[in-house]
Amino acid sequence: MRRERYILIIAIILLVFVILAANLFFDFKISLNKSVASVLGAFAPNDEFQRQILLLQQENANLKAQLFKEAIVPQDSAIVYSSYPFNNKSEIVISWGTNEGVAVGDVVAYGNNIIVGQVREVTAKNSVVTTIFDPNFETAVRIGTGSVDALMRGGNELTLEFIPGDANIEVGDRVVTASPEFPYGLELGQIKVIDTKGGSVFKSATLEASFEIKALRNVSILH
Amino acid sequence: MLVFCTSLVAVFLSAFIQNSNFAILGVKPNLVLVVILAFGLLEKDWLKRAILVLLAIATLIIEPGLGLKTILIMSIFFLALALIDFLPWREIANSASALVIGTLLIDVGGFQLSVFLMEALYNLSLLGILVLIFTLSGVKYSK
Repeated sequence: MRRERYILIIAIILLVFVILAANLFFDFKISLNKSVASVLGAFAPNDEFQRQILLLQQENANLKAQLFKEAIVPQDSAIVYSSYPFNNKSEIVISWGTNEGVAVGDVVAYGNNIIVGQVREVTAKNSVVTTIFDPNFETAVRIGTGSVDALMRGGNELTLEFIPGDANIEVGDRVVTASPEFPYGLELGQIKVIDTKGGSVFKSATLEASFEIKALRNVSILH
Repeated sequence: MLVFCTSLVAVFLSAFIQNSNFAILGVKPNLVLVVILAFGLLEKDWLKRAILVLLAIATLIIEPGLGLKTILIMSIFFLALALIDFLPWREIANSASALVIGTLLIDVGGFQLSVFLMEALYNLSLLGILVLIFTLSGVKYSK
């Protein structure tokens, strides 16, 4: 009985050490999860088809956003390892770190044109990215071909606020970044619902993001 | 000892699955919390319960270092286990209540009612399945 207690106490000490030294084991945990995910993926072909459909939809959205560009610049991309383990879409972990020149504050995009978020923490081999779905994420944006100014707030549902009440916007209008902290014109999504509050100077809207967090596999870093 | 070893394997596997992109209709059930609370019904020893929670935290990929989020999640797991013992009803009801409270606390950042309700439903269903498995396998737990 006593021996069992000692074994349990030793196990607790070892686990506390692993948790306290989390930064030492972080890269190892990422690699292990990647290996397990590739094995499990072989047993779920239907999930793979659905993931491929989502991926194709995202690629289509990215190509549409590139419509007026002269050339597609091929670029190496970082692999998206995982998102926060619970139902919060505010963070993802990617496979590039300081070894690849990533720094805190770098912008992360899908392709070259759809903003995913901003680098928050960096290790040698990986980076943690705060996505546009973080409740604290907000940025100045412009809407549609009329370049209407607004403020986008993150969260599980993306919202646009301070849209001038007389602005001519429609459902389906593309929304792009217009803040000095990000490259100009990165796409955030399209307007899904417009809320015209009666008598208010401003109106608001909700946004449908141009990408699905769970389908993200590769992203690029914009310095 | 067999029950404890089984609980260790279950927590480890559930944490691995939790790290993946697995979701049902876009909502991820909290497998780790369900497994910890289900085996919390069987294990009354707090040393063993602590090992289950610490193993889950060590396996989950929450953040690169030891930060506030990790400590918060760990505290929520311990609180949920404590609620099994301290709520005034039968232990299965306490476990279900602790599961809903734990789900709410974990989702409080970026809370969305529809996501919370779906996740709570999935979690309670999974807890029910685990309790049923315990019953059918003859494992003794306080009702």
